[in-house]
Amino acid sequence: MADASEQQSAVLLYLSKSGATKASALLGRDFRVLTAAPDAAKSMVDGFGGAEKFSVIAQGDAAEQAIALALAFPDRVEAIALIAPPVLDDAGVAALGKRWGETKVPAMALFGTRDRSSPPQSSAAYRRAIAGCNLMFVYDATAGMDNERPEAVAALLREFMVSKNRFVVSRESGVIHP
Amino acid sequence: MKAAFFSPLRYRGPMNPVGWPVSTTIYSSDAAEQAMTSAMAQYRIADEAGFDWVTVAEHHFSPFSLSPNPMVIAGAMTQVVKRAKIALLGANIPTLNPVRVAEEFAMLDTMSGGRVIAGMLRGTPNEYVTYNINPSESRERFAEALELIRMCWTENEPFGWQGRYFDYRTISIWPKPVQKPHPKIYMSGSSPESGEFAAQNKVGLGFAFTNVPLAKTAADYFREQATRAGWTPTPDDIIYRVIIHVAETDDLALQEFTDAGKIGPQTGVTMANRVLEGAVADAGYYGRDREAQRARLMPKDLRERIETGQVLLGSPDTVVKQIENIHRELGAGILDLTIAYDLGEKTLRAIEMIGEKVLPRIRDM
Repeated sequence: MADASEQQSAVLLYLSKSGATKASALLGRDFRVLTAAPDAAKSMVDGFGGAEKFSVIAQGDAAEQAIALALAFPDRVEAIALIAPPVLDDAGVAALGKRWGETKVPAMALFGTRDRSSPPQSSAAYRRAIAGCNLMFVYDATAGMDNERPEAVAALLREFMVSKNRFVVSRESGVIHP
Repeated sequence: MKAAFFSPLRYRGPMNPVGWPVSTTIYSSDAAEQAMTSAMAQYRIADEAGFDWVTVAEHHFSPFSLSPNPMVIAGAMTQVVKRAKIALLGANIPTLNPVRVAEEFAMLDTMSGGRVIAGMLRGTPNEYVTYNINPSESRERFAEALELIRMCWTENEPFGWQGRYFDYRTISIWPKPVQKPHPKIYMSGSSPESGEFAAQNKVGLGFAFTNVPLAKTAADYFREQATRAGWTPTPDDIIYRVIIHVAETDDLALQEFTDAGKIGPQTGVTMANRVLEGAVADAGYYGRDREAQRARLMPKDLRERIETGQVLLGSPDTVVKQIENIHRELGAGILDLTIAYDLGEKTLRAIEMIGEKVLPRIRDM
């Protein structure tokens, strides 16, 4: 696991049409969070100076920009997390699967259990399109989960951005009373 | 009307049944083994006698029931109960690991060829002490656990869960349930909150430790809430659990039942420890009709229990009339007939008598 100073220098590009969220604010305690409108993603990345690595969190339709960045900069993008990404039909799965190919960027897609527009039942499409994509269901939340359950979403994203695909292994101590 | 057979797996050996939890300083392993062996024989005979379901429950730390994990006894039942559905009423899901519950139900559904009924219960108040869970969080834990269990059964891609009370990083249970999309779900529901939740989540409702007037009020409220939620419960969406003992005559049934009741604990698990029950009540377990819920759990005398439909007692003719009354008042489609006391051969005879002389007469109700 990265130590505190390493985490705080790590860059998270948070793409959201509505700007900063409660979850992005919480992540700001541990990471350099750069909030941007989806359309500004490319220019933000150009401003990083070329060599800097970063991860991308995308809210809703901004999933497309996150995926595009991962495909354009697979050596710089350390991970992507898609919050309530749009539903993919079979043609969408095939198209994304073809674009993604053998890309190794760790990916996670988050679905709220009360989300009617991108319900958990639509999550499997992302697993089919993006090999190894981690599907996470956020209980009692809609597409606005990063404002509705910010602690839960930020904690999950923090784990994933630090540990990438190894986040499935708990590092929490089970000791109750030492 | 369908009939279920329920054995609480009551311990009948030497004991000092005071309070809850009950000490095992006086205890016989042989008696415990005998209780389980006897229950398994009863389940087998009930299956052969034509009962539609056989049911098990979850209770802890008491001779009242030797079934802390109903999955275990249900696993054994899959091997001796060949026809009837096997109903677990329930698992107490707020106090358990929901993924484990989903896995175990799916195992049982596979082992039984798709005959499992999935009861999801909050558990009696004392069960919150059993695994040190805050009773005030009972309903929220229940709601989340139920949704997670359904997801475990129906999702085919590995998924993680970021809940309030439960979190998992990757889940993909094997085996899956045989029944699609999953086994029929029931919850317990004497309180208004439970009726509302069952209606909103389209699950069946079971009534236990209650009586017909109270269950009727709760069932009517459930139907009203279901209508508001856009669906109409069928009789099979309502289970009513009732104690039964049948003998050749009313007098003999009463004598056998009364004699058996003189042995063992005189209260159920909840009211055996009033201090603990009060603390759980104060923590917010019951909900908005707290005192009514507590009152229904208080011990009653036998005559009142018969009159209010808590106990079916008598000859087959008498018991059929009692069941007709329950059906007319409540409209329940499933009657969960409970053997309160294991009377050995007398109990086996009673089960056979119910199968022969009672079940055929309630089938078309």
